[in-house]
Amino acid sequence: MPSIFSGSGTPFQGYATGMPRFFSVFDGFIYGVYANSIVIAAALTYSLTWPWNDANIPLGILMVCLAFIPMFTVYAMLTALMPRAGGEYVWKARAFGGFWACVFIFTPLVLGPWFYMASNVAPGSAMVVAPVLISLAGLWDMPIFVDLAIMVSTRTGTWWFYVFYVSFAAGVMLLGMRFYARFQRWSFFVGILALGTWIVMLLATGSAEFQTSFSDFVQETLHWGDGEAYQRILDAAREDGFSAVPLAETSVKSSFLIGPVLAYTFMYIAWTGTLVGEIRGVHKLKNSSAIFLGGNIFSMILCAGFMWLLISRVGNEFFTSANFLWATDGEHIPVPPHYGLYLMALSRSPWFWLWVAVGLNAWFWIWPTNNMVMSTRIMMAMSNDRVLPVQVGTLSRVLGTPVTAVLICYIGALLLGWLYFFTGFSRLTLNMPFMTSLAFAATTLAGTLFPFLKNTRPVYENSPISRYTLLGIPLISVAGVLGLAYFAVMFYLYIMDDRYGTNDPLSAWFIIGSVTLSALGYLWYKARRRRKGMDIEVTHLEIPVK
Amino acid sequence: MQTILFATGIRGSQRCWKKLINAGSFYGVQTIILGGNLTGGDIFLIEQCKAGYWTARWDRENIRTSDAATIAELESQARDAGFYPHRATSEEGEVLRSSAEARDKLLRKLITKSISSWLKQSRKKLAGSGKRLFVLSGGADPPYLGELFPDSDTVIWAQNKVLQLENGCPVINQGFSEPTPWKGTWEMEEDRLLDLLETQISEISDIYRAIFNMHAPPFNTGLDDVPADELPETGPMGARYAPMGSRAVRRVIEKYQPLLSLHGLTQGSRRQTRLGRTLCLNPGSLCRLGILSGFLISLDARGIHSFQPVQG
Repeated sequence: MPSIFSGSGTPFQGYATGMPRFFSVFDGFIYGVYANSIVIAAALTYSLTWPWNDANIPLGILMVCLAFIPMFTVYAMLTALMPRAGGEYVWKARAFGGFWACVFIFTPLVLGPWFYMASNVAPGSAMVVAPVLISLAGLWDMPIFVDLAIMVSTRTGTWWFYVFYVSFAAGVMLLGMRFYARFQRWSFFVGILALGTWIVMLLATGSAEFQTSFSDFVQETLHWGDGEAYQRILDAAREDGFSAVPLAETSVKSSFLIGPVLAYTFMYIAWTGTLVGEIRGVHKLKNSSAIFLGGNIFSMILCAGFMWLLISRVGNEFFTSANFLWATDGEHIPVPPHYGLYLMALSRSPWFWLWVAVGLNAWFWIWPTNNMVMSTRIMMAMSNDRVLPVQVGTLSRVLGTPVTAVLICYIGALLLGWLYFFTGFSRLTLNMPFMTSLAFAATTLAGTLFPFLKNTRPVYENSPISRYTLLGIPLISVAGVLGLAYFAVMFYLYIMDDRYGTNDPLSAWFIIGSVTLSALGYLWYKARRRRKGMDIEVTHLEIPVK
Repeated sequence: MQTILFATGIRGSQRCWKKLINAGSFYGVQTIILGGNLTGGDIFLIEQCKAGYWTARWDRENIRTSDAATIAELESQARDAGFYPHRATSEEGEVLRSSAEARDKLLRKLITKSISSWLKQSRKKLAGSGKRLFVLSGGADPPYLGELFPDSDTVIWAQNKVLQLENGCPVINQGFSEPTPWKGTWEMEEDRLLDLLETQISEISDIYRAIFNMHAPPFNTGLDDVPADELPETGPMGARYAPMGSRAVRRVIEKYQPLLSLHGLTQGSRRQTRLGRTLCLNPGSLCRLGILSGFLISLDARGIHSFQPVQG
């Protein structure tokens, strides 16, 4: 029976690669915010900015998020141009061909997430599990929970927590993206509610009041500091040569220079690029912009505002001194000085501690799982192009999920996790943020060149995106050049300045080796296919319509 | 060595059709096989209202414009996505909304016009090139579709025919499928379908080199998976995907073991599998995105030399 297209649905719904689109635009937005990890990873990132002692963290957040707007504009436009599963890979493959896509994808975005899982989960045991246990110990007066909290913070304890977490993540992946979206949405709502309460508590607390509360809290719960923990930390840092400054005396230059550190958190909305084929309605620029640019602006306002509030209560000298001491001399401070500790210190009620811990958990649990999303989606896209075996990307008929890809990730994450916790492997991965940002920069370059390359120009010209120009130049290219300019600054600083910790020679050789292996693997596979009369490069080519 | 391109389910997308007729020279293939679901099923109405304005609803947005270029662009977008644009007065719009018969009549007119224009384009591209395009019906294609394809050496209406590739491989073409929840036109009961297939197969002697171009995928092979939430009833155990293929097709493949079988019907099931020696392929469809999804298959004297999916 013929019908009239009512326009109530979208004509572009469909199952691009056999993957149902279970994510709404709102789910995609939350996914980006979680990929940034605006609470957990952010707390770790802020603690790494102490080498720039006169940096203003809230200002730094504003600067880096504004600097990333061009990059996210490119991502939003690429998404509207080609809303495909495994987007990052597909965009690069269509722009540069399979070889360069493989080079810029395999190490940072297939292999990388396996050990990102370890580096993401490791702090979780101390940051989110231990506070729950300590709160329960306080609530039920059961010291055994404190022992458990101490145990999960040891290396072996963290490893077993990691095994549990990776199994949890694999379970979520196997249950599919509809379940993932629901879990993520509820976590987000709880997390936002918790953040709201923390903000209210901070607003109701004065600077002097915090100093007393913190010292008392540390004395009562950790039996440290003799009721003067706050001052002790300041004194110890000063004695060790750290020159802390108040927020009012911070400099714009240092605030800009912490941008590449803050990028460890704020560039990761780009992680959503692989998932765009599973989000409904992203072929519309306003929807893809809501995800990438909306997520960036939301993260910027929330994080800059929250950090300004926190630092105005905690004190910039104290905040940076505590981070300095923890990084340089752990004996001066008994636990990592992440802001969960400061928040818990705002009240003596174990119920409030528990609420802080619940909030931290809400911001934690679904976050490292997105490493598996990234890795599995790219494996699926590569499998669709037959760069990886077809079985890797095949969906289970019962679960509707790529079971083989999830299992590969699960085993890979466990293996690299063990190496991470029990060997010196973590040193080899120091430069990975650099490699990941290179992958994002390569995508930005792909977007910049999209209107001009032979294979991508027809896609661009056929898209409403081609309407957006600036002085006759495609807006995607203008945004791309601006985005690449900031990447150039970041890369210069990553290579030239030791304080970023991303220019370790051994790690560089490890990454170069891994990239070389993936490139050789691709060439070998291409030659093998060619012997069979197939050119795998044609998989990526756009058929002309003229 | 002979290479063929198999694609399916372009569902009225003008962009995909243009790609299809260019694919021969682009991929260097002699024969292109289109496995059914050629036409779309929806009219895209652009209504004229007072004061010279046109209104339409596209992609969840109300559009109201008097700009001829905007309307033309909207029509082009609709054609590329597989819809049939039609400009109407508000009175005609009312009639079309209320009368299935009027819609039927109009859609036939629009499909006829569209196919005629497509054939004109394909004659320009394929005439004298030695390349051929086999077109099969299937799914929601209208029953009169075959009448719109005149006899031709280049664009060949393949429904219910046994054709031959240049290398002599016979291709059995059948667009009918088993009854589905979508209640398509080209559907029949499984036992009748089985009889039809057996009759066709009996026409060929070289079954070892035969290619089955059958719109319906073989039952329960993964090639026929449909997300369960698209169906009125979910599959066993609340499965995420339910099999929607044909038992008759599966039976003839298992019984005769042709070289290759090509299928469509389920647009999300971009899969490959083997039933005995037979390689079964379903490239799925990305027609709404204007992407031609297919498989390139190289055949040599011994059988299938290689194959690979493409999305151009």
